[in-house]
Amino acid sequence: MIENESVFVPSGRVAFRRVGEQVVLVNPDDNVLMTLNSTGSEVWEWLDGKRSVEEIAVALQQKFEVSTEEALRDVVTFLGLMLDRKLVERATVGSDE
Amino acid sequence: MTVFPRTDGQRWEIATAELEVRCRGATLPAGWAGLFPAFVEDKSTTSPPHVLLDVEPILDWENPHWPSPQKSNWWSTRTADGFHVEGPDYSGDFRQDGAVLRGEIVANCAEPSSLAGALRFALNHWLLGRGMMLHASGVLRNGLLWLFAGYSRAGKTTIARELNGGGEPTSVDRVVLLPEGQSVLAYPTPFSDPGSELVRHEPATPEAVVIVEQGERHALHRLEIASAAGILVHHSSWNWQSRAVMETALETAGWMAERVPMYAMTFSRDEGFWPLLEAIQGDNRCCGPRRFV
Repeated sequence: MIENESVFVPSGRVAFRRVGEQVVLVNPDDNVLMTLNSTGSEVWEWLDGKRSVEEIAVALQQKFEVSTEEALRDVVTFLGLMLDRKLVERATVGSDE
Repeated sequence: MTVFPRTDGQRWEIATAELEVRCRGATLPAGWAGLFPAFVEDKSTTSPPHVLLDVEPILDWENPHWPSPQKSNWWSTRTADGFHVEGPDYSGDFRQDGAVLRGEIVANCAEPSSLAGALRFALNHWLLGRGMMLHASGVLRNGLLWLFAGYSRAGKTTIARELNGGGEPTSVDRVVLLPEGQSVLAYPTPFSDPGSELVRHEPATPEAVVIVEQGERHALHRLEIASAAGILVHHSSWNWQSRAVMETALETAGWMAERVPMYAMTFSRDEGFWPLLEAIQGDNRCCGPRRFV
């Protein structure tokens, strides 16, 4: 379950780099390579352990001029996929990490 | 000792290291030493001959095994003071000695695949934090280096050979990519052909990288740079379950993809690959006279 106030960070096992307009991810645990589209790349770079799902959706809504509901749905869907693939993990709220 | 910060706030330790590759029961084939600046032949020792290689490995102590023995024909495991590696015909031990990591790999140098495996392992260590090895063949033609990457038996060496007028490719099967200034240099390696005349060209900036595969129909397209970076990582020689290794590969591949055009090429044996190469040549002609022949 991904709540609006949930906070996520990239998994400590994942290597990633922005290449041009997109972020490329490599998960060494299963050698999975993934290229995110421009929206996914933006969301990925907002996973700083501080911004909540809702805050990321608002930022996405402002940047891409979509409705808040649509942005929130996209962020939750994206994070669900990333969680399934163990590419992100929940941040401990209040942690400095 | 220096440290390499991770984005999650933790730190990787980078230890200064010496790695020794010892040949078991054979002399070192001519051409191996001096291939890279990092290789130094120790002429004071004649039996057994060995190569000293200074490396600065980034150790991933989180993974006791990388890769798992079930997934690969080589594996390494943590020991009390370092780690042990086992390959098909080589083995090695690394141990921490203060700030210095010392390693020794013993290989049967009379067996090309053994020596190649051992030195590939050593070079991969040296490349951590520096660059990557790409599964590719290349040809230096008219001062321009073309690299052909792909799976084994995809046709990359065949194309490079044809492109070189039937002569041998200038680099076979593996090239080392090292970012240099604002560019990237490709170094030839001897890993598929140890003991022969190995260094056929100076390091050069690739004109283009072509990902090769055979199929039913011709197809050619220029890769977007993010896809290109991912494909380069996919065709790199890395197979270690380590984030540090993947970071190095990704950094090098991203750097390369941002600077060197990359193409995906499918060719059928019936139609040959020349029309596709000419199309690439035409696409690349934006920036001056660049011709295959």
